[in-house]
Amino acid sequence: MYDAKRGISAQQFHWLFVLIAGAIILLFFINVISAGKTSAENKLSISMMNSFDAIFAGSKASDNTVSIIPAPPKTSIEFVCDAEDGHSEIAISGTIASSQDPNRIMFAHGSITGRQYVVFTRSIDMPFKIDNALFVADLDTKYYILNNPSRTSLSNALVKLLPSNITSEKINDASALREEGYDEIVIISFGNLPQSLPALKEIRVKNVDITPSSTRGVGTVEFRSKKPGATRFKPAEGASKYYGSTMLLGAVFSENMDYYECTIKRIYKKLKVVSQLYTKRSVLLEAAVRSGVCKAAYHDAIGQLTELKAVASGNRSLTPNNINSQEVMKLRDIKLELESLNEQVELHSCPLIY
Amino acid sequence: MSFNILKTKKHGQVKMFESIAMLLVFFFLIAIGLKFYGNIQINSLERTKERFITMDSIKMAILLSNLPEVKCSIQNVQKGACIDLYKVMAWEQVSQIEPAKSYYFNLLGHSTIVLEERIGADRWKSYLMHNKTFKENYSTSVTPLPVAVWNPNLRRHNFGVLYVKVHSET
Repeated sequence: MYDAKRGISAQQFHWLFVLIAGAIILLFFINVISAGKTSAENKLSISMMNSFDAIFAGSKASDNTVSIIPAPPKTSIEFVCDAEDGHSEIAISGTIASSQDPNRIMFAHGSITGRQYVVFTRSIDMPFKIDNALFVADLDTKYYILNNPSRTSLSNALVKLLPSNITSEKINDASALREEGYDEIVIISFGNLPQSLPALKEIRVKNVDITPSSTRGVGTVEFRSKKPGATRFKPAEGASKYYGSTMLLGAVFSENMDYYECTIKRIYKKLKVVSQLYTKRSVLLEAAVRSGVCKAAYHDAIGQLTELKAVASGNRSLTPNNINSQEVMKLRDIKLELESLNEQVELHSCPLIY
Repeated sequence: MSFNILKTKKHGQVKMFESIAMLLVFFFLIAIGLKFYGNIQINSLERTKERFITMDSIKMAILLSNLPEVKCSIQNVQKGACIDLYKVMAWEQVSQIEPAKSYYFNLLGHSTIVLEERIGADRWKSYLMHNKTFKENYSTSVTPLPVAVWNPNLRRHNFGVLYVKVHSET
């Protein structure tokens, strides 16, 4: 009796031991597989992010380039640019992959979920080239240009600025708006946004309202958004300024006013650096040339460039709704003056200012 | 009877030792396998890291040679594979002071950028555009990029090489 009891007890213990050891081994392998899966996913997303970075860096190298990039399925690329703290990031949502570049000048919608997206560049000149601005747009977004008969020249100019791969349509009346299977539509208006719109239940709708000023190339932009199904836009987030076609395009391709002003802030930051560099270059040229006329022109250019840097630095208090109208006008005047000085030194066969 | 108890006890102990020994051998084999797999992974990661550093270095060379701050331009029309000497000379001074200092550190990170201009037979002049290294234990990937160096004052092109050295901690 005692023997039998001892025998059963040893066997039970043996099976219990096998069970525990088996469970530990099983858990170990589950862990290894799970860690392997996470590692493979991370590796893939980081490699994807590196490819995006390479695409953006390659596109940025020259202006007026257009590239169509196929997006991996079920992937959403998020673009963040915060005007308050200047934080900027591109991330693949749901993964650890992200890329931060505090110098990147990029206009984009908040996220891209489409199958393809277009990356194009435009030069920013003030009047010398500062940088190439990158624009990223989802090909599943349609751009409606709501024609205003009194501002036809501006709407025509804007249509010409859009790359041909982007779906756009010029309409005379908001009743022509259709969903047509797009993820999002952007209505570009010229002070003629109607009070009421078609409901468009399944789609996000944004509005960029452009009001040009009496000075060529300068104007105001307002940003609005509308909930799917609503017939009215929410009140405008505020008004901002643009100067030149690149900034105007930037407003059209920005997520909202905050994103637009964040990127404009970067343009100002780069302008500050480049104007400082051109000032120093003009000082070196002033010392190197013999012609008195050219020396005077370089001297004037140094004054203008120093002022340009001061205007760009004055923008340090830039917060949403704060791209100053006077600063934009000042930039325009300095640009015209530098263009004239550059022509002057060219006429006297001296090295160009820019 | 006491002999039987002893026999059963011994039999149970032997079985238990057998199981433990089997498990030990099993875990030992797994540990060897993991070590082997780990080594392969470390080698592969090091190769990937080297590839990324080389790619970074090439990317930076392309980026740098296309920067409007150094590229030759005539009335704002940029010329390919050409560096303006006066822009580089201005860069050398400006990049030491803010805001350019932090701007170019964000752009070029831990790297050394040198422009070598050939000014005569076997005579070269160096311009140090950026130099940020780690204090210790770092490796460097070098990408030389042949460029034309334009002197706008003398209206002369010289041959030059732009060296982009990207540093990474080891």
